[in-house]
Amino acid sequence: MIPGFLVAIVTFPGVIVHEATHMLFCKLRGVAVLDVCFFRIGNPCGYVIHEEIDDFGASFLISVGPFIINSLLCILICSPAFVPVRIFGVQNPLSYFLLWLGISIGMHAFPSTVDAKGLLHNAKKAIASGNMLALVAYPVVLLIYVANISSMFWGDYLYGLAIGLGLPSLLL
Amino acid sequence: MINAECDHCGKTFSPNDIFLVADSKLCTACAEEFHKTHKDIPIEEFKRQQDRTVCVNCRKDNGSIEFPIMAGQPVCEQCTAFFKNRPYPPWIKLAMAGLAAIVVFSFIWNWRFVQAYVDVKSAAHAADANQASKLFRSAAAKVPEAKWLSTMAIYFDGIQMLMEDKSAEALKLFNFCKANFPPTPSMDDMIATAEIGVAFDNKDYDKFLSLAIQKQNKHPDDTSAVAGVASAYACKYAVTGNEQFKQQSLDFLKKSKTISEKQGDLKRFEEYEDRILYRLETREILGRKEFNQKFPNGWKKQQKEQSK
Repeated sequence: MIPGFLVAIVTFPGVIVHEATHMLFCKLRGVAVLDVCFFRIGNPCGYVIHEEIDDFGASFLISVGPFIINSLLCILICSPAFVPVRIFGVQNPLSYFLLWLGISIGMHAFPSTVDAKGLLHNAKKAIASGNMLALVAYPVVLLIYVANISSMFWGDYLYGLAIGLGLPSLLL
Repeated sequence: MINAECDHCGKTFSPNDIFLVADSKLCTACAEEFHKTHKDIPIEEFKRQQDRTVCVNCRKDNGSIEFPIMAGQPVCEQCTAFFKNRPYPPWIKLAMAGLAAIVVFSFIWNWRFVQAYVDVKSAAHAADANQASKLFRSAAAKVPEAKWLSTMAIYFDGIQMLMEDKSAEALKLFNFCKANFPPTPSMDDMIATAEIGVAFDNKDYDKFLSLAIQKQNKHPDDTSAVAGVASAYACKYAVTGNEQFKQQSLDFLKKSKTISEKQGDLKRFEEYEDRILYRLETREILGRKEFNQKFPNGWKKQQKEQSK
């Protein structure tokens, strides 16, 4: 087993993008960010502390935002490297740098269990006030927990590989 | 700022320095003393009081007027605006700009690979071997590092040579490809086909027959492979006049037709059939090119026209 902090150090761009995305969605939805740490050696390796959110939509976006943005960035960054490396077998440092960067970002796409708890809390409040759309949060929360459990077995790394290299393989 | 008095020492403090514990207001020092003598009271029971007239972030004093509460803390208007639109640190902005620049640069830098990929994809749907060869050559020019692209161009040149009945040239090209490419069954088949062509061109009909049988054993359901054996027996008949070879040729021709019918590819078979039947009828051995020149509309068709 490789310690989590070592994995975080090697894949630090993903942590930074993950927290920057949380913060971006907070700013977009006017949610006050009280404190932010983009990267540190510790657990958690990054965090965004924001005010309590009453709006379920904002809570959903802030929790799930990194999953969307990290995944998209992973695809975007890996794609220019995919064709030279996988199709033509041409090995150059730029391509490998892009693959490392893209996969690092992709493997930090999963929201944390803290994100899931916050989302669940807001979903319960929203459902209690009659917003049935918030029911969608339950399978999402379940998926977040499954994803976090899978991370113990390199599920996050495999996810990064799957969207960075697997997806273009399917498309091309 | 408002003040609060310690119930124990009677001194005045900011409420931020006062703890509420066991219904008493204690200053920090007295609370510490109290904790030493009352270990049974958990530390969570010591509730720090809050001066809501002082901003928790910038320490701005609002006199006796309380600030709005954000995340359980009093925060002034300026700090609220800051928290609500907290700016990214400059290094994050720089890193994100760098990331975007790297992605854009990489797309531009690697664009030739995308163009080469389009060429390779187009080659897979090329109308003929010549066009496929041109597309692979174009891809190889864009990505010279990928040596296999020029090898593929040569491979298609070989196929084109075969189509033009230039088996010896084709064989040279295929052998070059084999030496520069991981071994593949299709490459071996192409080499076998070229070797058959060379044997035919050299009028070495025993070798032609032997190689054709080998190919047919490897691909028993291939119209061309089976028709190749029929063609070889027809050559043997043309040279020797031995009726046994003629019968064997006809047997394999029939077998080839059955396969073609099953596969719905009769056109391919008919091309072989015409040439082989002519060979059996006349004992004259013509290559594909010569035959097509002599009978541009096909031999059977021409015969029918003459009989009219």
